Amino acid sequence: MIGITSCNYHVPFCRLEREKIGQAWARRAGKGERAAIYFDEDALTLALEAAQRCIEEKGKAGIGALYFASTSAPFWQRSSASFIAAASDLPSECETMDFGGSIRSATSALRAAVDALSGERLSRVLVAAGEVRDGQPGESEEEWFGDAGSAVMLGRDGVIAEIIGMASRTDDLLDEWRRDTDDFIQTQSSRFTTERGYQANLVAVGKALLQKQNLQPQDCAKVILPSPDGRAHVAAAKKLGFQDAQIQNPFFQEIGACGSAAPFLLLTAALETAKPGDQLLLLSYGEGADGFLLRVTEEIKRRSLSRSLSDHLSEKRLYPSYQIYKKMRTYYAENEDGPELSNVFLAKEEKQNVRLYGSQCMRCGTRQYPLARVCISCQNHDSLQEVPLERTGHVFTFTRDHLYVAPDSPTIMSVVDVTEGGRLYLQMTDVDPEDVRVGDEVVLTLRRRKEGPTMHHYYWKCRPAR
Amino acid sequence: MPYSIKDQVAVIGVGCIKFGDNFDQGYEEMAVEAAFAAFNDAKISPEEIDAAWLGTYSPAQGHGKAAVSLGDALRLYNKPISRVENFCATGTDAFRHAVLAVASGMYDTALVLGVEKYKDRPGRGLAREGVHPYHNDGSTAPGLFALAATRYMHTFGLTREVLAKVSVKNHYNGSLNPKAHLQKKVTPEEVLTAPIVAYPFGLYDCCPTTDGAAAAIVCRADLARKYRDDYVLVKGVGLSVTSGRPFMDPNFDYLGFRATQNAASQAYAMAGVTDPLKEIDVAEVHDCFTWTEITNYEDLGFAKKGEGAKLIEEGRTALDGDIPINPSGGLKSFGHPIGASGVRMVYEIVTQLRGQGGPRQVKDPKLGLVHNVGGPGAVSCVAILGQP
Repeated sequence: MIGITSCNYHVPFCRLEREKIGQAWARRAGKGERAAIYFDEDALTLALEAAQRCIEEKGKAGIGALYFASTSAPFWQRSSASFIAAASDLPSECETMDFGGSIRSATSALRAAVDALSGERLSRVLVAAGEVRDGQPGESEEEWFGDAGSAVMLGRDGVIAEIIGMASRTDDLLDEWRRDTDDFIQTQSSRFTTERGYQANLVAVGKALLQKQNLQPQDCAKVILPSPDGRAHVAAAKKLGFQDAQIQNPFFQEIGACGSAAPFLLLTAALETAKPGDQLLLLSYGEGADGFLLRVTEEIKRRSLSRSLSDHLSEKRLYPSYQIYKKMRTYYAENEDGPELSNVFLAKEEKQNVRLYGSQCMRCGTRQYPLARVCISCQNHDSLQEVPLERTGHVFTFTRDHLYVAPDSPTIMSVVDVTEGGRLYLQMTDVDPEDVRVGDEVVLTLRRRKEGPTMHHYYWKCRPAR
Repeated sequence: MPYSIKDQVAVIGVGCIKFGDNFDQGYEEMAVEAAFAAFNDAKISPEEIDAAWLGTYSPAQGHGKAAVSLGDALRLYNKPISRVENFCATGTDAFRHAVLAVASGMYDTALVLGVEKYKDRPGRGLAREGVHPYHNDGSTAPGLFALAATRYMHTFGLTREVLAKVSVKNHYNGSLNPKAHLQKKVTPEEVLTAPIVAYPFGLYDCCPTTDGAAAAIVCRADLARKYRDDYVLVKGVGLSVTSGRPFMDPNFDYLGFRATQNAASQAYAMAGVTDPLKEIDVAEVHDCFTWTEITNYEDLGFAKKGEGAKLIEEGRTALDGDIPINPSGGLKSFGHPIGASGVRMVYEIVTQLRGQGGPRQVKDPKLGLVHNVGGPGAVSCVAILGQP
């Protein structure tokens, strides 16, 4: 049996009410909010957060490949998949691939993963998607798009949703695109793109898949399809023969159209209420379409859901203005005042800075960071072993620093005692500064740090456990 | 037990310029003014100086990380000069080096000069140099001490209202001192309602960024009378260096500074001080932030851990208290040009021991203490000075 063993999402803590975008451009706006990155997030960090949740849930033993999908990766050239693999402390034998070019790229990666598992070449594959989506300023897409990350772990053991069928089609219809010179996504949204692009492709792939499996729409518990505008998905699903109750909420009012991050995010939401035996039709659009038929297994009962997507979305910070939302997206591009570091330094320190290893004294047991040769507790020389630190902990002490120059002040600096030992000095993110207390439980999260003249910097921060 | 240099070295001259936003004075001008004030005070000529130590954390633009900025400013060439840099303990440590060299018998006289020119730099606060690009990103001087204050307040229930009393006291003392940067009294309300710099510290909980220079001349104790009758003797010195990354030290309780405790016990042992609260008559301690002064009371042995606040609440550290602390106005109001501060504190204690403190003179001091703690509580230097 090949299928999903874990799936997760990460929606930015910050949101912007669409009304605020309308105010900025002096026009009417749509309802709801769009998910919007903080200054320290990008498509890579969003995908990594979701991937890290999969690893937390299922461990990382046996992961043979990590695939990354995005249309908005932070690098034109440099593998985000390789960086996520390092941050996830996967071994160098891990196969990494980057998928892009289409908002369908996450499901393209999913197809490739299923193929790799079917050929028995690999036994577990982690697929992560992240998107930071920018419509043309002032156009409706600026409101409709949203930022998010999502991930699925695939394997043969512990499958919660078996993949029983796949179908694909291609269609070079110009719907949304971004040239190598464009900062914003180009669109020609119209009834034409909705009907002849989105609807036609999803209906065609959905029909083909149902036919191939000899299934009727009523045999499926849910149809899951991302929505470009909060409406079109309903028409497409109905055209396929589905009833309202079968249509997965696309969370358009809470997140927005989040490109390649949408399929796994919505699948995760659908699995929250799924029962063994439920069949799910997952559809994904972009220059054609991909479709997957999944059957939920008994294993789903063993999944302990601590919180639903709705719970996750209810904790948030609303940007007070369009200007602040905009600053968070552009600050690093406009402020390259971070350090220029050598690749020698970065390579030397990868183990502690990216893989988050510390040293454990084999004599007295103290875990310490950064990597050391002499124990900080017993001063014993060369009795230290490199160990991966846990990525959870609690706040020992903190400050709200208004002096430090940052795009958003104050900066929360915290001293975090890591679960199982080790102490770290970390900026805290995704939190209302006034809510921080000594003793708070936190989760470590790799985020963008000061921008260098030629490079993005990433280092660990912490955020409240949620 | 280390070798004691008690009573072997005398301070025969001190000099200090007006601290502040010295927009019209460059590094060298401040250095010259402070050094010649000390030369004049000791009635010694520059040629008679055998060796010199320069305390500078941030060399002036174009000066380089060496001792040449002292030599070039004073045109003091072909002499042994070393530059000392040890976080905020730089000035006291430079003094300590000069004292040890004279005590060794190698030199008869030595100059200690502390200088810092900060107000010609862009940006705000102190420039951070040599820090790890990732591990320290986000840290500032007030932020580093605020981490300790937060933990201390969480543990002992200390409030910002009590911290404010330190600011009020030191601003009052500074208002009596014509050389202080901020000669202005503040009320508790002003302190508590000022903008937050790094919680729990507001603007008036923090020392300012300041330009300044101070100098001291030391010589062999047996030669001191040649220069003046009211010389002051060095009774003890101590220096302790602990982790510069306390925020990654899993053993650190963040309730005080081990460096101060260790440096003080070294100096007390050398000076023969066993009950600091009774024996020390006046002290200049490192009040970079209000909470730092509270923990200093404890780390220097004036109060038990967790009980330092009582000293300020009961007025015992005021000018007329039984243990006056920071009669100069402290870093809080005198200002804190890093390398100059320790030497400036020596200047203040010598002035107090000579009875020349004017309106801020404390009553009949015999034994005084100078203390700096630098970095994130990593380095501390203590010197004890007394009347012969």
